[in-house]
Amino acid sequence: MVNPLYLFAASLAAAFLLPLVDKLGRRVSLALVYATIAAWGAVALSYLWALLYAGVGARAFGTAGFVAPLAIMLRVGPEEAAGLLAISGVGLLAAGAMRRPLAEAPIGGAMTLITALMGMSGIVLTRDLFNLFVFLEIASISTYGLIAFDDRRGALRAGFKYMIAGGIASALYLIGVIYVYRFSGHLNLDMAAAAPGLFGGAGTIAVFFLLAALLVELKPFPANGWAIDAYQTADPGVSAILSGASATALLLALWKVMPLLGEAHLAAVAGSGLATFAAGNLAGARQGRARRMLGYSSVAQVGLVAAVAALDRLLGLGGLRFTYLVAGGLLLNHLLAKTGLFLLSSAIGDDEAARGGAAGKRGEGALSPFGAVVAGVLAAALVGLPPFPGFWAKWTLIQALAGRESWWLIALILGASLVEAFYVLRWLIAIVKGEAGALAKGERGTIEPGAPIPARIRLGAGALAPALAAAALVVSGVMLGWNLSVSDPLLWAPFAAAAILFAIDRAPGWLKSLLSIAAAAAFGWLAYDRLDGLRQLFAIMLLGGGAMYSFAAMYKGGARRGLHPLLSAATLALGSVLVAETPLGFFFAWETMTLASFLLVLRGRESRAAALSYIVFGLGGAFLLMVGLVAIPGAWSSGSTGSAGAGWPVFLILAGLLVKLGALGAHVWLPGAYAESDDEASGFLSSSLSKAGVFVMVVALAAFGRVLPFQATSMRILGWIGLATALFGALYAIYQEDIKKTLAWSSMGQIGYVILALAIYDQAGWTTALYLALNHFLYKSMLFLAIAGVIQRVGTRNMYEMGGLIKKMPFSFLSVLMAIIALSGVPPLSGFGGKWLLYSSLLEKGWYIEAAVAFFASAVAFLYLFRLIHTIFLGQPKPSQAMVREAPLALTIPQGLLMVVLFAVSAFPRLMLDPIMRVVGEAFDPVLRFEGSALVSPLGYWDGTLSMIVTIAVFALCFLWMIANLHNPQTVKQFNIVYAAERPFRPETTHYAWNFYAPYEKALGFLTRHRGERFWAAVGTGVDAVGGAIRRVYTGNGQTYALHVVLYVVALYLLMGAL
Amino acid sequence: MNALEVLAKINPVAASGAVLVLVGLWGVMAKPNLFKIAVAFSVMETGVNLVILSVGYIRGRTAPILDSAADAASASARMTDPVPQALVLTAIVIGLAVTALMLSYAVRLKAGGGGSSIESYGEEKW
Repeated sequence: MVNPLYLFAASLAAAFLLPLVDKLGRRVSLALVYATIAAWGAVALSYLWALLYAGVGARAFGTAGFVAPLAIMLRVGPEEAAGLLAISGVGLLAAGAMRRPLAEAPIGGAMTLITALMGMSGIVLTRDLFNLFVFLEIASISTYGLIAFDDRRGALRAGFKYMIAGGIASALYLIGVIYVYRFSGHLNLDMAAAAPGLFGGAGTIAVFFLLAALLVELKPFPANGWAIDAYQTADPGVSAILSGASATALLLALWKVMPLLGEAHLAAVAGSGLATFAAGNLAGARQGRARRMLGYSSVAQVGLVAAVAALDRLLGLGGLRFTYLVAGGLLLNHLLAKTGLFLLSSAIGDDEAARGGAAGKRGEGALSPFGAVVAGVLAAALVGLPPFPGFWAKWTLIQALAGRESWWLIALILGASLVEAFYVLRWLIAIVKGEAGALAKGERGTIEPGAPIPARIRLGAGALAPALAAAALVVSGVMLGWNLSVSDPLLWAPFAAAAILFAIDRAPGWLKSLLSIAAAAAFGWLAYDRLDGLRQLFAIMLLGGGAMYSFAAMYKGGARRGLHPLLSAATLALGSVLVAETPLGFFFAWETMTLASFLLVLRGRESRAAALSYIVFGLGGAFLLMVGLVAIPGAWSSGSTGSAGAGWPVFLILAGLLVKLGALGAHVWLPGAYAESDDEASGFLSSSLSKAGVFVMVVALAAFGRVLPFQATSMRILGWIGLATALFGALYAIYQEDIKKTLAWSSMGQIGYVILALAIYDQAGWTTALYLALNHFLYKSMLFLAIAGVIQRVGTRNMYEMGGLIKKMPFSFLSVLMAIIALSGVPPLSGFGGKWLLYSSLLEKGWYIEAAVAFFASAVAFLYLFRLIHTIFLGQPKPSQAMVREAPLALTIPQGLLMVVLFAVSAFPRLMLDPIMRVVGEAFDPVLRFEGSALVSPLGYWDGTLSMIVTIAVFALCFLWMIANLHNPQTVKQFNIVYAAERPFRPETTHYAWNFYAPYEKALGFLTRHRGERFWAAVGTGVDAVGGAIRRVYTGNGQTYALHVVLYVVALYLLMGAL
Repeated sequence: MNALEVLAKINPVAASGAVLVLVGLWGVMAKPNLFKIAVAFSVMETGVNLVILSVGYIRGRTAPILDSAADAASASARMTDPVPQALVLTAIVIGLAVTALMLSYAVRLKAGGGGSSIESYGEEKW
């Protein structure tokens, strides 16, 4: 191993030679700067190599020819080597991005950059407490210089405040260090830690001063206003160094003094860190300025890392490996993502974007596709989505905390993470989409003439550093996942598919469609051996559905950039939910699906708000699911069945799934997401993706349904939740003017029936549930595909602007007709079977009121179905739509296929019911059975084949009778009607399809006042208000910040005394 | 008598150092003038340095210099602790650098047209 002293010498020499070298030109001097930083990085890599692969142990270097206690020791172990690599890596990225400001400012900027990074590296390496102070001061003083190196006013203001806080911290540190020396007799850390004198009353106080200084340097809430001001105002490169490199160094300093800390100290660290994580994120949620928002996020993340390291020592969460994985993973995730995002915010000139204000370049348009991918990777990593290090760290952390039953800590950490996800992704959406969805508008070609063509912001060389950070995140995330033995290639397939399809994103859409279908087929083939009967049924809906929508995506020409990679990734993620064998593997697949589908929604035209609520609810549901999974030992292992240990955690799993399924109360994300995404993506979300939640619910209830606390009552409540979802979904649907909103609410209602049927919890109920799920997949696909064609041809989603399309689009009409017959449960199509099954099993179970309400709900559903076909396909054709043609083949072929399938399973119900009953039969005693083609229940029987024959026969007879009795028929033309002479002010108000069900609204409208939306809006306002109150602490006055520091230290001391 | 005993136990150097630290802290938090804040930091640092020195001082011993008063053999029994004195030197140098940087910040801020009160530099907030 190279002696690190050489590096210090090199850095100092370079820094002091810079003014001389600068005479040769700024290029030469900057080259020297980069070379010096790179040398640190190269040596750090060689250390890592030696420690991890060559098997060399950690080594301590003496200085000046002596060893401790006579001299300062420098130690190189794994955490030191990794820390050095992080510091030099962040330094190099930031310095690269700061090339221009560094070239323009006086050479002092470059000098302070080198010395700041050297100081941070020294903090990492030294084992001497006083030397730690010296390096802290070198790093701090250089940082003060660096903050204002380009003489910008804001940074000067913030820098002064930074110095005040830093000055107080260093006074505290000095006092601490000298008394530690007094009581232990040593300045060397390892020797001091071994000295008994430190653990008495006075020694504890000495260590407290030391610790308080380090904590203040780590920017705890509320003593961190000075740091946030600096993050906001300094050059983003400097902010990246502060947030990434400096935090790494200080966290390692804290890590290093941990052997000196007693339990009370550790509790103070953990409490302070968690408070910072929560408060920082709440205050961040209120931020409109991107860099200040990133600043809040930075202090929050650093707080969490510090808390994790302390919690491990306090609670014994898993020892060194745990801390490396979780604290190290979180830190790596934070420093790469934050560095990338700070530099990205600089590259796009974005500072006012976070809350939707338009300023800077962003107001002009959306990010270029490459920039959007980079921004997406960085933001997703920061939020802790797979496959990035933060995801693995979060899972391991929550699992360990659940093992210690620290539920409050879990709630705090996940709650604050959710808030962080909210504001980080809000910013992502703002920068990726530009104003009002410029990205998608440009593609559709429906932009009004005269409107400016939306500009794409190209990042150019500015994208290099963020892209490198993003690449490092991907690589480290994959390595960590592999390390946690999530090595099943099928689980990684979604990412591979997305990457490949993104790489060829310029290729024509049909090629990518075919590749996506091939990917889904290959996945199914490879996974086939692992799919049992239940999983095969769902594979048809999930993988088959995904492939079908990939095919349908060809209905619009062009490359349709971004659509295919996301659709394919989401499809394969659904597949991997089916094949996952461990809880972590499952959760990985689940979050992958959440991420892919969020991006899919985001791709829609006006989907900013919808995408945000989709991901916030998606993550919220996923967090509930995660806690439930980790709280039940052995959950999701193959063949796990109800153990006595599983109790209330099952409720968490169910609650998470209900959020994902859009059950009433947590449904507010659903209409927006289904309505605003691309038309085929809506269909995919509604008919395929929602079935993933059904699948998991089936598995969870099969495994744990019998050990649920208060089993009967719980199931009844679950049933009522499903029923309410069905009823209100239908009620909301009937008042919509927007056709996709109608279908969205309808989807919610139909899933409600599935939940109700699952809650019946016997063979009949579950047969019903799976039958309804498969049917919903069939007819909702037909509806969404047909409607996609209609919207494409008529260019609007408002039903009152359509009409009389039956002659223009007969095939789509037929498809919608069949679908609504099936959906409404009228014979002869399969929906009747579903309704028959539902009512029989409800009555059999003795749930009479439920049966009555379900019947009422399906009557309501009939209203919107009637409106759908009546206002779109019947009625008066619009003159403007005279040239409308049938939908493209890409849409009609899948519809034709679905019609054939629907007809087949309606005429021969055993095609579908036999496999379902085989699956359900494994779990329940039989209630239903087949006698020939008749399905027999204790209450009666249903013969699908017979009813099909009877219906066709009756229809044919009537039809023949009509033909036979038709004398002198007259064709009615469109205008064979009488007009009134009035010209209304708003034409649509006189259209019969406008406000179609106004009378019903008078009667039932009070039920549809969107209380769920109001409730969640109030929750949002509440969080927002708390965040707003918290950030009022940061008054901007340097002396108030000094007071915060002093009060923080006093409060910490008092708390420590109390513990 | 008791009070006197307590007083006699107090290390006068440490006590005056602590007083200076508190005075400096008060100055940092109570005086809005940028230059006075810098001066207050100097006062605080001086106090800290006194505290450090007080730890090394052992009553009745000689300065840590090898001469006729203490040879190498008896040094550890007859000298005060030299380590804190060495540390103080470093701390003084660092304090100087911080004070200089703080003053240059104050000059820059004022030269840029700002006031000399820290209250006029609160634009970044919330």
